[in-house]
Amino acid sequence: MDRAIDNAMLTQALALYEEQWLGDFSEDNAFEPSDKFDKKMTALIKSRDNIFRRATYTRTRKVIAVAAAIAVLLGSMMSVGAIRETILNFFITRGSNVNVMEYGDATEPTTCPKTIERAMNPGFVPDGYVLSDESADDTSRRLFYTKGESYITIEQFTKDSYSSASDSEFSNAETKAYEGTEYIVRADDDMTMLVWEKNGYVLELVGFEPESELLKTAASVN
Amino acid sequence: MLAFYLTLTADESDGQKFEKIYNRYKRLMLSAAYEILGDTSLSEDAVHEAFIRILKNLDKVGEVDSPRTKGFVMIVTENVAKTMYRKRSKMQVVELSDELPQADDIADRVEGEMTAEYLASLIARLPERLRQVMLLKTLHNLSDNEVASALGISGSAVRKRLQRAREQLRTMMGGKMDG
Repeated sequence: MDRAIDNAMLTQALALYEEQWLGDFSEDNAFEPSDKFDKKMTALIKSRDNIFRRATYTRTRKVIAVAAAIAVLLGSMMSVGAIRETILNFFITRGSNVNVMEYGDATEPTTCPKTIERAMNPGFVPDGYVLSDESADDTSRRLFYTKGESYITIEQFTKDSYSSASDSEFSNAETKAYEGTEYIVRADDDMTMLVWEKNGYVLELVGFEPESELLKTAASVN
Repeated sequence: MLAFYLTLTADESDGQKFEKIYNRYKRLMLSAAYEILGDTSLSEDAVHEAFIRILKNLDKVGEVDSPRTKGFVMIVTENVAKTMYRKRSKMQVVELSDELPQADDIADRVEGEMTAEYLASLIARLPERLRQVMLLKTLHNLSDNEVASALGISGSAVRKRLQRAREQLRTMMGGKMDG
């Protein structure tokens, strides 16, 4: 039998489901947050507009520098609201301590470098891109290339320091082999992220160019 | 220049709204997160992350006490908590479906007719990640980008999950869905 339904029926059914589902949550629960949590949330409420004070996680502080670089470099070409959105998107998708993917097994013994002993650089970048910013600490290093409003970031991490904010979709990201190296490839509508291992380091490249160009760039990093 | 950009805020009323949401729902969110994570500290981490996502979509939140806001807040909280659980347990969580309700169990189901109650029972059987997207998109009328930021996924993932949700509902119904 043809069980055709329309969106109005679907909306009604969804509302009914949600009402039933929310009814499972007791309003009378005695779960009280800790003082520490309350203070943390109070601080968040008060400083909601300050991206730096909202960075409560160590990993986040490492990427704030990149977010700040993006803001500064794109500042002259984007609206104020777009800048704020870019930073917030960067924070939400990369600065959270919740959605963390560790590369490899953190418990496995490794002889990989514990610090950035060898700085790796690309031998090729797509036409028009120039190195606009570079920063580093003991366990990571960032290169920031720009071309107009577009950018490519290349980050180098020690293996045990690497973590990447991702959602559950990352587990379904594609794995591709290119010139003898295996890459984890995750693509959104216009952005591509590549993650791979080389010389005992984990590398991550993010950009907006065609995947073929980004793979070529990644393969040239040495 | 950077400091100027970074100090940009939304209206002052946003801060008040956010504070209201926090005071109204914090216990409920912590309770929901604890049900999933079983750890007080992790639950607080999850709720903190959920609030950051809510903050990002604050302009889409209307009346704080409305069922719609409550639904949105709880969807985000459960999503964050379950993602944390999956990451920390490093296990693939297979969502178990309930048994298909038999025709006689649904008092309001009329032979040959689709009712909202029956459809709601099928929605309950969808994998949660698909159901969450359908709730936020179809019921809460969020855009792809808004759903993406609330659930911490990409825009393309939103569209894919919504399509899969519709396909699975269609399969369960054994027919077709319009629109």
